[in-house]
Amino acid sequence: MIKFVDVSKTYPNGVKALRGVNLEVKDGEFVGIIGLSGAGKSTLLRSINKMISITSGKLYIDDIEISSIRGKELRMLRRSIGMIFQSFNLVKRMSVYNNVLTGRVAYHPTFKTVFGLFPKEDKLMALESLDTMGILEKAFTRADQLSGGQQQRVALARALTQKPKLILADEPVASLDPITTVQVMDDFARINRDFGITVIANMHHVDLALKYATRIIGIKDGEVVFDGKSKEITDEKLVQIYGRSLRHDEVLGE
Amino acid sequence: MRAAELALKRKPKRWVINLVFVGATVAAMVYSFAGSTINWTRVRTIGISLRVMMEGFADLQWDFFFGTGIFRFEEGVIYLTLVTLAVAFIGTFMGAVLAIPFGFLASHNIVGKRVARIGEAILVIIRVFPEIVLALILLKGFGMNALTGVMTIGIHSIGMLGKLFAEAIDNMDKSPLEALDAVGANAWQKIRYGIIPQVAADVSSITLYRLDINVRSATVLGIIGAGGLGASLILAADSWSWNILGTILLAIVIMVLTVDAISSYLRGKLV
Repeated sequence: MIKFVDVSKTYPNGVKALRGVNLEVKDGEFVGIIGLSGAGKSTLLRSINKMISITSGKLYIDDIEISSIRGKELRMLRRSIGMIFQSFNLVKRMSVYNNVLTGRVAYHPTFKTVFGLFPKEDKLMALESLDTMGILEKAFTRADQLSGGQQQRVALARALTQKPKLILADEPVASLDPITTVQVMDDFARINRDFGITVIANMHHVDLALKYATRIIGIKDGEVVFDGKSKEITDEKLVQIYGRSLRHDEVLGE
Repeated sequence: MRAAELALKRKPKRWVINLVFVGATVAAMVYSFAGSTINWTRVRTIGISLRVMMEGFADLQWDFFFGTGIFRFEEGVIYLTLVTLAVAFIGTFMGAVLAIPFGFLASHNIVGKRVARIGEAILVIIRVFPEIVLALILLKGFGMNALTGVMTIGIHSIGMLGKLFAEAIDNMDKSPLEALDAVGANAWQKIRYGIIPQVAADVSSITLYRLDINVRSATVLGIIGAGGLGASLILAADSWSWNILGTILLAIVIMVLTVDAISSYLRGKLV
């Protein structure tokens, strides 16, 4: 369970990205965060695994207050949270398998991982994750040989190999074409359903968010202006989030 | 149309500056020629000199080349070439290994701007010493032998390799480091899985290129006594022994071309 209590974030340049956010996300939810660019979606998401540190308020993950943790404790937190990025963030010159295996590094002592000594069960975990994502046959090709959709699946496999209870996705489909987008979103839905992993995703395609997420959080100027079931989203609510009504083509996510 | 005409009038007039530069260059050349003491007798007899030289080159000393006959193997060109190659190889290896920490130290991405400036400054200081000057200093410490050559090449190589390694690190894709942060990797793990796989090919390629350069340097350094071919080369030149000189030159040409070919081939295989 994730709990935001009066969380604010002010960047050193004075930008207030989050203003007094209060939220609670239960285990197993699929949350879509929507809002304009610069509204604070990314900051909200990244504060959960402390890729960005909040400036005030309290943030709990499973009753552990994370704003003060550092060093090894922080790395232990992060290894239990998968993260997916817009540009996949794979090492392109490394094999798919080795990329996925990096999901295990925080589980082992430095000297073992530096020499590439992973236990057999970890190696199998990596390959099983690839199998789950349907790209096992690509395991030993270099990551740069894969298409964008396949690369994002490798990134998902890397996250799964962490055995996470939560996956954060920062614009996971923003650099994919519409068909691949649907496939990757289906993968997220499947992971959420089959493994019970909580998914929190930033999305700028409203229709995708509404289709896949069971809960929508709308952010405007760093404040939560909508928090409810996807079904409860109306045009009026969208006006609240985006400051104006969306045109037909914008909602289609094309 | 009007706007274009006005723009044409505003076009900066560069001819004055160009004229000044050309004039200064011509003046400098004239001055240098006038001040130099050209031995005109030598210039007039250059044909004869060339003929003698060519005769020498046609009379290559194969016993000297292979270190057979009256020559011991350790006196032969083959052995000396191997020493020169060894100096270049060990020196480059030493330089490359030592350049890696300097590369990190001078990389803005890894240590931040402030520390990187210190790292860069150290590398510049290493680079400003011309190789020969460095060798002359080290000669006093290590003596007239191959070790001086190795140390000179090793230390000098750090300067350029460190800078190029830092550039390779700064030019790489930083996004995997973000992903490694997110999986909970520590600094060593980020280097091992985020940086090394990305820069290994570039670093190897740069090192091979430097080996190419260092083979030539090792030959030249031998002239001042840092081991290998150079010492025989200068002795042969001083005593006008064109046949000996030609024999050594043949070895140098073969060595340089071979190393060049191997290094180009390997670099082509990388990336």
